Order: sequence, then structure tokens, then C-alpha cells
Amino acid sequence: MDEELKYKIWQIVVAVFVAVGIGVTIESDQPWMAIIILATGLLLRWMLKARYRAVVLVDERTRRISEKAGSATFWVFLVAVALTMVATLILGSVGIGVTALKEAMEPLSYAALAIMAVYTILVKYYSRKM
Amino acid sequence: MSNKMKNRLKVFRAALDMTQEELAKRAQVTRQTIISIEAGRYDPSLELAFKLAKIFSATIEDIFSYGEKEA
Repeated sequence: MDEELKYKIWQIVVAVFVAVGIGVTIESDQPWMAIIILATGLLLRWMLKARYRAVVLVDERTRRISEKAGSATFWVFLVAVALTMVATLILGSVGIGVTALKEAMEPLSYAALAIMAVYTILVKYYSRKM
Repeated sequence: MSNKMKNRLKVFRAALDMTQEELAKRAQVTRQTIISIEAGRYDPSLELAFKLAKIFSATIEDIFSYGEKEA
């Protein structure tokens, strides 16, 4: 079995261990155990990376893919929040009260605004750097 | 009309009887990146282009060319 495949299998094993472990400990009301499992998972991940240092899993192409996916996710989120907020306001103005939706949308809208502000600041920052 | 990068990476690799895996290791990228470059789906950065040229003891222009392709 080649090193890359071994690394990927171990990564999945660690991820499953952490996910199941945290799920079980939270379900059984043991938050400290969840933290210990998370820390163990991070330690195992670090050990794996050290053990399979020669395996190249991230390069410029994967980084570019990640950037594109991140940017697309950002815009999809913003547009979805904006459209849902507008729909909620329109429904409210014609007398169809969607209280639960409005309550859910309010923090989301603020989050979207905050994300947009951070995005604008980071764009300005990187524009000066590059 | 759209511009498109072309490359002869596969030809250079074949000339040295090198596998995609070996080239990927030497260029410190994933094998998928080599596959994508050869298929013309991904244009490498200038740094990677220089790295590849160095591996084949060639110039960037020998491996990569910038052509115009009808859209």
C-alpha cells in the first residue's frame, strides 16, 4: 500500500474516532472527556503529519481549489441570507408574519454583515501586500 | 476568442521515462496536479513552471506555450 493511501486511511480513522468519541461523551454528559478526545485527536493528527512528512497532500492546486470553493461558499451564503431576509420583510409587509423565520434571520443577517466587513478589510489588506 | 496555455509536459516526462508519481514527488506536488497540468485543466504557477523546467533541464518556453484558441 502506498504512503499516501496509508496516510489518508489513518486520517479517516482519527476523524471517526474524534467524531464518535465527542458524540458519545456529549451524549453521556461528560464534556471534559470530549475535550480530552479532541486534544487526543489533534495530537494524533500532528503525529501522523510528522510520520508521513514526505507525502505531499497540499500543493498550489489544492490551495487554489480551496480558495475558489471558499469564495463561492462566501457569496452563496451572503446571497442566500440577503434573499431570505428580503423575502421575510416582504411577507411581513403584506401581513404574513413569519416570526420564527424573522427571529432566526436576525442574527444571521448580522453575521453576514460582520463577515462582509471582515472580507472587505482582508481584501484591502492583501491588496496592499500583493 | 480565448487564450490558453499549452504544454508538452507529457512529452518531456515520456522522454525521461518518468511516471506521473515520480514527477509529482520531484516537483513536490500531488499526482493529481501533474495529471491536471498534462490534461490542460490547470495552469501552474510561475514557481512550479520553473521547478518543472529545472527537472527536465529545459526552459519554461520549451515546456509551456501561450497560444490563442477560438472560443
